[in-house]
Amino acid sequence: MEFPKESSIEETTALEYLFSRLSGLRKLKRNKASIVGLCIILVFIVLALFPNVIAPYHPFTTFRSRQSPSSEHWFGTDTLGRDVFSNVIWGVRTTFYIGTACVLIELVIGLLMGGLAGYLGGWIDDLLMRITDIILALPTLIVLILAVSMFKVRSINIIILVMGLIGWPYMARVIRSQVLSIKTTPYVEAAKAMGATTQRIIFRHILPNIILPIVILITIHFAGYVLWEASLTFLGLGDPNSFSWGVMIMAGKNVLRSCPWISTYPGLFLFIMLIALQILGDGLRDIFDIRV
Amino acid sequence: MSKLLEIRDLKTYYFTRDGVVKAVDGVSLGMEKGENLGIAGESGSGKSTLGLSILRLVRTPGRIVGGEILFKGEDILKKSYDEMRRIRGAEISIIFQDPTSSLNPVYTIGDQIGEAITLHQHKVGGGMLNWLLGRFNLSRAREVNEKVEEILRETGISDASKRRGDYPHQFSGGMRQRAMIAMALSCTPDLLIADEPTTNLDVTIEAQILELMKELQKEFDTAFILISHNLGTISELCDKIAIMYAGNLMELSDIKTLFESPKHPYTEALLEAIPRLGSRGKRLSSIPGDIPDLIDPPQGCNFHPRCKYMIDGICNRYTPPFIEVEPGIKVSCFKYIPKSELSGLGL
Repeated sequence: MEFPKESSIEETTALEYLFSRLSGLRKLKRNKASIVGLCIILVFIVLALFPNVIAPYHPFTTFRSRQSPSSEHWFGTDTLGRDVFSNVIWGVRTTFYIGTACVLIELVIGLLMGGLAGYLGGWIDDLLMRITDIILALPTLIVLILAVSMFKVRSINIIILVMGLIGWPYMARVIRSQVLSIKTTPYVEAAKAMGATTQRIIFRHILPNIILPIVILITIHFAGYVLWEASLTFLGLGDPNSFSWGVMIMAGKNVLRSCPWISTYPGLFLFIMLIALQILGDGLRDIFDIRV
Repeated sequence: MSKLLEIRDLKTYYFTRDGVVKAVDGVSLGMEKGENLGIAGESGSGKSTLGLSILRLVRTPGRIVGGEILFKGEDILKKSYDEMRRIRGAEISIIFQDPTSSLNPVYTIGDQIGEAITLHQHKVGGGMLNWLLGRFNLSRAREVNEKVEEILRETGISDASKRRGDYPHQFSGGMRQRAMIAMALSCTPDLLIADEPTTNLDVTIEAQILELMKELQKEFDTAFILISHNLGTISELCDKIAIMYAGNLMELSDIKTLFESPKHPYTEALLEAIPRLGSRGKRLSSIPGDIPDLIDPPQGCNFHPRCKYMIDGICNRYTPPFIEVEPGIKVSCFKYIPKSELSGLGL
């Protein structure tokens, strides 16, 4: 068959090609709510990067304790006399760190366990899923307390590691069930018939189709880890040198009636951050999941 | 020269909880290069399993338990996973029956057709690094895109350069099947298996797709196996036809002879069961009885409980051999074996 000589394929430069690959970002524009979410997260990222520029005081600077909010101390001071506003701003970094690191650990283990179990099936599936069930059956908080108290050092990294190692079973289960349902679809079969390798089938055909539940689970669990860290801190197992919002919320709990601002403001910020993440998660879903 | 495809006594069983389902039980077939063959049979007769067996894509609990599949003289069943992978898509391709779900919803049509081309013509492995590097290999991307557009145009998709960037849900059913055909033909395979390619399409689209496949087959000189329950579809497209019943081949013949003088009692009954225009008032005949349970098939010929020529003591005791009764026509039925020769077959 003869084809017209003038090929309709435009000459693309490397840059244009790259932009065409990022065209998904343009889709985000259509979703107004997710733009708001993205902006809030961007503000939080700036706060996390430059707390020393934005916060009026260093978090350890003390003033008269239990001052109510004023023009000098926007969110008041806590029981030890520290400026709550400055603490909240310094806390952005820690909170992000905890959430992101834990979710990453969860994702890696969950993908490995769930992916292998779902894709390979058979006795491997049984073995990995029983391990998952065992972890899932453990009373989370008690195990967290035990595990963290085994370490002499109170370090935020150890807490993150322990939380990540306990939190992955849900992710593994969700991924397994998704892989199970996607691996038998005709298009995976068709890819196999076209000679695709196992790796290619997993990374190109299965993973992109299960991104939606993963993104949703991540946004939920991000919040969960921040709250777990707060509970640990409340029980006296937190890292005394970190300024996470969890620590601040717990610190103000006993004086909630007399000085509500100590807990309320970090809590409010946590709330805003989680809502923003949730909205952004929805937007990301719209980008990745073209079926919606 | 050896045949393109030679299947010898292929047995594919499904090991289910209720027992062993003998979906394909001793099928032998041969195909030359560029030939086209239709495989017809009722649902459950094992014709799809036969097609999947050729690509070794039978899913667990199914397994090929015996026989040989020689492709270009080499036994496919003895190949390693990686060798097999190289054959799939490049030398043997398959078109599945459901074009709606056979395309991955998250990639564009062009991406998916291009995948086969990159996999086989650029010998790209599946590794992530390879994949990432491939994304930035511009000359290759352009080359693949050109190839994709060419093949899309050949399968009759207008405005190929634009439609290449569309997602499957933006395509209609007929267009998706065209895209599937484009994908299957993208590496010019020597053998194309089409597993009921037009079942889910309406008749006008079906006619278009069949016409297209006929054209492309001539152009690419691809040997072609069409699996269908519709004798009309097969007669439209193929020169030879194999009739399958309960995991066995009953008759292998050329289309014309089969319709004019069917040899096997099953084929005869099957042809009588086709509704015809102008035969109003006559009762549509059907084959008495049901397709046998493949877990526990009847002894002897699988068709004997429904056969009006059944010879007691032979058909229900021995399996008929698949023998040539006329040049190019093979039948597995005792009706064509003279009484005097029955003893010669060791019966």
